[in-house]
Amino acid sequence: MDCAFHDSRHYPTVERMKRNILAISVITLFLFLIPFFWFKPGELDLGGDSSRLYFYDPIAYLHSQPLYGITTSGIGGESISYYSIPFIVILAAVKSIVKSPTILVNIFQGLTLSIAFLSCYFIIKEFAKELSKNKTRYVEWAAILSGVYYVLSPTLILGWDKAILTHYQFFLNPLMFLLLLKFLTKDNIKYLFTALLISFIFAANFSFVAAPPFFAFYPLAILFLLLYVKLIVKKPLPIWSIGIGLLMFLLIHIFHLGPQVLSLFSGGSEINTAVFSDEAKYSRGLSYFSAIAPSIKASYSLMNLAQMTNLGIYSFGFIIFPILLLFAFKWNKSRIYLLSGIFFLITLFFVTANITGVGLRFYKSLFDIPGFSMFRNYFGQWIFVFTFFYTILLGQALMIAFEKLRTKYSIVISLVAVIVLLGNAIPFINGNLVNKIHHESKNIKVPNKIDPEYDNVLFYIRNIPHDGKFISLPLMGPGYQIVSGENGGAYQGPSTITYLTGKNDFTGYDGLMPFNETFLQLVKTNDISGINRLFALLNIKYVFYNSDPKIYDDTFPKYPYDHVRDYMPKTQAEYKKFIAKLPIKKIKSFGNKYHIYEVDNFLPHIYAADNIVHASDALTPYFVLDSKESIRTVVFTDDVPTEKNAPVVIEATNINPLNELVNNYHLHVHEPFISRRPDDILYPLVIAREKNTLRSKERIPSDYLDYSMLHLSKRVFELEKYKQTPVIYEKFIEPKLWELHRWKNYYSWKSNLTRYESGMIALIYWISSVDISVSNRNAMKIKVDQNLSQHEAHIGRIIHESDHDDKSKKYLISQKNKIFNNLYQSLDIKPNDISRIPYALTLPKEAMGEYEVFLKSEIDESLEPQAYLINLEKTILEPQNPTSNTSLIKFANANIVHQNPNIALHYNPKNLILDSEWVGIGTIEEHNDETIISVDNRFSTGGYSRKINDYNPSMQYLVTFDYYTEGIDLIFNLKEKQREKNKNLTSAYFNKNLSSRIWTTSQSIVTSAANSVGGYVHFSINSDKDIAKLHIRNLSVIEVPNKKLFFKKIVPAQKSIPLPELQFKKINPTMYNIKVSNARDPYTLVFSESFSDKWKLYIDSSSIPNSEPATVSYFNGQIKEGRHTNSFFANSKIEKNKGVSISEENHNMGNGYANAWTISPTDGGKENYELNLVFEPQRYIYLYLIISTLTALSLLGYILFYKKNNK
Amino acid sequence: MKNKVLEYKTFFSKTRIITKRIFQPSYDLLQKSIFTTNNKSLIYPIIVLALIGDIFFSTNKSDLLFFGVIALFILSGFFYKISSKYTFSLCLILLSIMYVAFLFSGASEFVEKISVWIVLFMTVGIIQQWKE
Repeated sequence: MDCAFHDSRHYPTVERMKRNILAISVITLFLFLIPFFWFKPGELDLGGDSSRLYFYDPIAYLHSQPLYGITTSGIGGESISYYSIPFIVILAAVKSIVKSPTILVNIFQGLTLSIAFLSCYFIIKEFAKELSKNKTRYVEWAAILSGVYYVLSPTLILGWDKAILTHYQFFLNPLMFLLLLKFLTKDNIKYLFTALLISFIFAANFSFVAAPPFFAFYPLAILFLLLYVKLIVKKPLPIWSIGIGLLMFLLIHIFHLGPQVLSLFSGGSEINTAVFSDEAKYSRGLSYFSAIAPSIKASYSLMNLAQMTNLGIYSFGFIIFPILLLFAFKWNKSRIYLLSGIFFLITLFFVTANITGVGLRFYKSLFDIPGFSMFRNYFGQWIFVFTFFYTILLGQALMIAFEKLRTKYSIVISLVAVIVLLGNAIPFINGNLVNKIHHESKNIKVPNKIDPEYDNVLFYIRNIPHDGKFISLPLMGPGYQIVSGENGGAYQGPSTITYLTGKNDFTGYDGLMPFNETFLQLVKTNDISGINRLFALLNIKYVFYNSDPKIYDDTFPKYPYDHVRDYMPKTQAEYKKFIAKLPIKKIKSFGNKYHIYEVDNFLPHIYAADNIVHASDALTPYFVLDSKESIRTVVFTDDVPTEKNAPVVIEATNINPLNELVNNYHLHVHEPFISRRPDDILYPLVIAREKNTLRSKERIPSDYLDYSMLHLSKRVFELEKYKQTPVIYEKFIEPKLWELHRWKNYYSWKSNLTRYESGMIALIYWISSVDISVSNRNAMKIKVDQNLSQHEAHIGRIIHESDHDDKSKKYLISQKNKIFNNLYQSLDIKPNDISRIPYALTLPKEAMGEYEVFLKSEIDESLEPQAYLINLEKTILEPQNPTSNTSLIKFANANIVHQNPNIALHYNPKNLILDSEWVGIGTIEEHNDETIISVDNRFSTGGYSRKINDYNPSMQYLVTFDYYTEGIDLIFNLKEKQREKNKNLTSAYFNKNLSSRIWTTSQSIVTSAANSVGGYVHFSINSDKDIAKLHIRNLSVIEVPNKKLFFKKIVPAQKSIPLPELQFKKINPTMYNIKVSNARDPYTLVFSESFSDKWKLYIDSSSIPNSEPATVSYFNGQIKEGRHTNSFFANSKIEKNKGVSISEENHNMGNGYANAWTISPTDGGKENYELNLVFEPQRYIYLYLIISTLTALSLLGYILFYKKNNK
Repeated sequence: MKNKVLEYKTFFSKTRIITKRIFQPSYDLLQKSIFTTNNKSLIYPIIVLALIGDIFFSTNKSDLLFFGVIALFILSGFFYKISSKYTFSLCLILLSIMYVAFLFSGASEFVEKISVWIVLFMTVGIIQQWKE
C-alpha cells in the first residue's frame, strides 16, 4: 500500500482511544444542544399539517385524537391515528418531568440529531472492518466526518420547522440500520428486540401515514444488509431469529396495523381509495410526479444539494464529495464499497428520476403498482434514504482516501469537508432555517409563545358539559386556525379546539365540507336564517370568534384567507358587525380577543326526525326552495323507497348538449411535441405507436377523441416545425411498415394533408357511430369543429409564411380549402338552438302525482318570469307571477303521470350586445342589418370590438354571426377582462381565422372565467391589402341558460308523528347511550356525524331506562342530554350487553352527510328501551393494544433481564 | 442439504455452459468483425467523439445515443479487457466538466446531460469492478 504510515498508527493507543471518545462526546453534545438555541424561552414551532400540539399538551391531545378511531374535526369521520399513542405517552411522561413544552421539543430535536450522528459513526466503523484490516485512526476520522456529513447535509437540514412525526426517520433510518447490522453480524437477537422496541415508540414511522418513507428505506436497507452478510461477511443468515423478529414486529404494531389493514380492504375507505383508486394512481400520483420531475436535477443529486432552492457560496464546495467517491472507486475494489455504490446508484435514480428518457418512463410505469402513488412527491420521500446511502459510501470513500493519501492531504480534505459542511449549515445551527415567517404574512413568526388567555379558552371549552360542535371565525381557506402568541408569532395549523379539547370544530372552508360553498353563498347573500339553518344541520352549537386584528386584517392579507375573503367580512371590524347580525348570544369572553357564542336555534347531535323529505340533494329543500321545513327534518338523498304521500323534492337534470362542454374543454388546442422529422428512419415507428395508442383508448371515448386530436395536431405542427417540407403534386399512398424504400414518402405536404384528412374523416365517422349519448356526441362534434377551425387557420398561416414559390403556395391553399370544405361537410354540425333547453327527470312509480314547479337562477340573480315557459308533456306551464322579478320563479302546478316525462324550458334569449356600440379605428358602415368594417392597414390593424352587456362569471355564451370577407382573412376573438390579484387583465379565449366569399355562419361557445368582470367580441383583418373590408350580420351573443328546475310534490298535510323522548349521553367520541321512552310508532333517529356503515346501533330492550338527571333539554324536553363522559375503556364492555343490532338496510345517509336509522317497534324494542350507538372498529383496539403492549414489555424484559446465552 | 447444494451448483454450471454455447458464435463473430485489435484505436475515439459531440454540440437528449454509446463502451470493455479504473477516470473528467459548467450556468440542460453521462458511466464502472 502506497502510504507513509508509522506503525503506531495502525494500533490505536489507550490515550488515542480516550481522545476519540472525547471528540465524539463533544460532537454529540454539540449536536444535542443545537436546537436549544433556536428559540427563545417559551417559544414553540407548532402548527403545520400535523399541528404538533402533542408537544404543547400531550395528555389533552391523547384524549382528543389518537385514542379513538374517528376524528373530532368538522362533521367527523373515520381517522386512524392510534400509531401515535406510545410516542405521546412517552412525551407526557417526559413533560411531567421537564414541564416546559419548549424544552420538550428541544430534547427530542437534540436527540434526533445526536442519535443520527452516533448511528452513522458506528455504521462506518462496522464497515471499516471489511474495508481496511488496519485499525488506523483514519477510521475514526472517516466515521466522525461521515456522521457529521449526514446530520449537516444540505438536503437534511431543511424541513426541521414544524416537523411532522415521520421526520423522525432522520435518526430512525441510521439507528435501525445499525441495530439490524449488529443483529446480523453478531447474531445477537437483543439488537433486533431493541430495534423493535424503538419502532413501537415511534410507531408513526411504521404506520400507514409513514408508508412512503418506510417503503423507501426498509426494503432497500434490509436487502443491503442481507447481501452484506451473505456476500461480504459470508455468515449464515439467522433465519429463525429473523422469523421471530418478523412475528414480533407484527405483534408489536398490531394496535395500528390491524385497524389500518382492515380499513385498507374495506371498499370506499380513505386508505382503500388512497391505494387502489385510479384517481390516486393517476390524478394525484402520476400527474403530481410529472409536474415536479422536470425541476429535479441530476447534478444536484450527485452533489447531494437541496433541489429547488437557491445555492449559497458553500454549496459549490460540495463537489468534493462526488470527487472523493470516484477516486475511491479507482483506488479500492472492495466488495463492501461496490455494494454501497450499487445502492447509492439505485437511490440516486429514485431520488432524481431524470436519468434518461427510458428511466423516466420506467419510473412512470411504476405508478401502475397499487399504492406507488405515495411516491408522487418522490424527491421528498427518497431524499432521506439517498442521503443515508450517500453517507455510507462517503464514509468508506474517506477511509480509502485517508489510507491512500499522505496525512497532510487527508487533513486538507477533512478541513475542506468540515468547512463546507459547517459553512453551509450555519443557518441551521443558528436557527435561521427554523425561525421562519408565516407564508404571505406581514412578518408574523412561526415560533410562537402561546397566549395564557388562550389556555383559559381551551380549558373552558374542554369543560363545557354539553354536546355540540364549534365553528371558528374568522373562517380560513384550508382547515386551519390562527392564534397569535405573546411574542409576535402565531400558531397556524389544524384546530386547537379539535386537537386539545376533544370538541368537533369547523375550521376553515375545507372543514365545512360538504357544505362549504353553501355557507359562503349564505354569508355573501346575507341570509342569516339560512346560516342558522345550516348551523342546525351541522349540529353547530357554539361559535368561537377570535377578534384579534393580528390574525386577520392586514397581517395576513392573502394566505390562508384568499378565497374565503371574497365572501366573508374583509376586516375584523366588519366581522364584528357580521357576528352581531347572527342569531347567537355571547356566553363568555376572554380578554378582548376571544369570544364564545351559543347558537339560538340548535339541533342536538342525536334527534328523532319529525319530518322526512326525499330530495335529490340535501340542501334543496332548505336553501333553494326555502320551504320552511321543520328544523328536525331529515332529508334522504339515497335511493330510499318512497311511500305514496311522501314529500319529494327533486331537481330535473339539464340535458342540453352544450352542458357537456365543461371548462371550455372544447377550446383546448393540442400543442404536441414533435421529435422526428417525417423522413427520419424511425418515423414509421412513431406512426405505429400512434395507431397502437389509439387502439388502446378505444374503450374510453373522451380519451380516444383527445388522442386523435393530438395526433392530427401533430400533422399540422410537423408542417410548422419543418418549414422545408417539400411540395409534391403526386397522390400520397401511405407506405406499409415493411416498405422500407417508401418510408421517405412521409416527408411532404401532400403526405401530411392527406393523412390529416383521412384521420379526421375516420374520427368523424367514429363519433357518429360510437355508443355515447346524443349530448356527448354533439359536444364531441363541437370540439372537432373548433379544432378544424384552428387547424385551418394554422395551416393557412404556415403556407403564408413558408418560403415556397407562389405556384406551390396557391396549390397548397387550394388543397387546404378542398380538404377543409370536405371535412366541414362531413362533420355536418348544426347551429345550436338554445331557445329550448331539454331537461330529464326520473321518478319512482310511487312518486308520480301533482307537483309544484320552480325555476331557480344559477347565480342568484333576478330572473324575468315572462322570458320563460315550461313545456311538460305538451302542457305549457306559465309563471305564476309574471311581473315580479326574483331569483326563484314559481310556475303553475304540473301533474306528472310518467316516470320519465319530457320536459323543456322555453327561453326567450336576449342579445347581449344589442345595446353596445362598435369601438375601433377605421370606418363602420351599417346597411340594414349588415355591418361593413373597413380597416386601413397603412395606419392601423387594431380592428373593432363590441362590449357584451351583463357578462357574468362562470356562464356559458353562444356567439353567432354571418360573415363574408371578400376573400381576405377575418380574425375573430372573444376576449374578457379578468380580475386577478386586484388587477384587471385581458385574456383572449380564442382566435378564429375565417375567410369566405359567400355568406357563412360562424358559431362559437365559451364559458366565462370564474373571475371575469367583462367581455367583448373583437374583429380584425389579416390582409396585405391597404384597405380591407369585411361584412358581418346577425351578430348575437346569448347567455346559455343553466337554470335549476325543481319539482316539489304536493302532499296532503301530514299528521304530526308521535315522537319518542330521547336522552342521550356521550360516553366517548365512538360510543353513545340513548334512552328511548314512549316509542310506540316507527321513527327516524338521526345522528349528525359523518355517515359510516361502521356506526352500529344496538337496541337493548332488556334494560328499562332509568331516569338520570339531564344537563340540558331541547324541544320541550323531547330531547335531553345526560352527563357526558370521556371513558376510553367503555367500548370494551359493550360486547356482553349491546343488544340487537338494527339492520344495515335501515341505516341510510341523511341530510347529505349524517347517519339516519329507521326504527320500528318490530326491531326488538318495546316502548321504552336503550340504544347503544357504537363505532364498531373501536371495540377491537383494546385487544390490539393489549397484544402490542405485552409484546413490548416482553421484549423489554428480555433485553434487561435475560443474560444467559446472550443470543 | 449437501445434495441440494450440489444440485444447485450443477444447475448453475449447466446454465453457464448452455449460455456460453448460445452466445459463443455471436461473441466470436463480434470479436473477429468489430472488436479486433486493429479496431481498438478506432472504437475508443468513436466513443469519445460521440461523447464530445453530444455534450458540446447537441441540444437534444437522445436515449438512443446514451444507450448506444454505453453499449459500445461495455462491449469494448468486455473484449479489450479494459479496467474499471479507466471508466472512473472518465467519470472524473466528466465531473470536472460538469462542475465548471455548473459554476457558470447552474443546473442547465448542458450540466444535466453530463450528469446523466456520469451516472451511466459510474454504473458501468461498478459492474466492471464487481466482475474484476
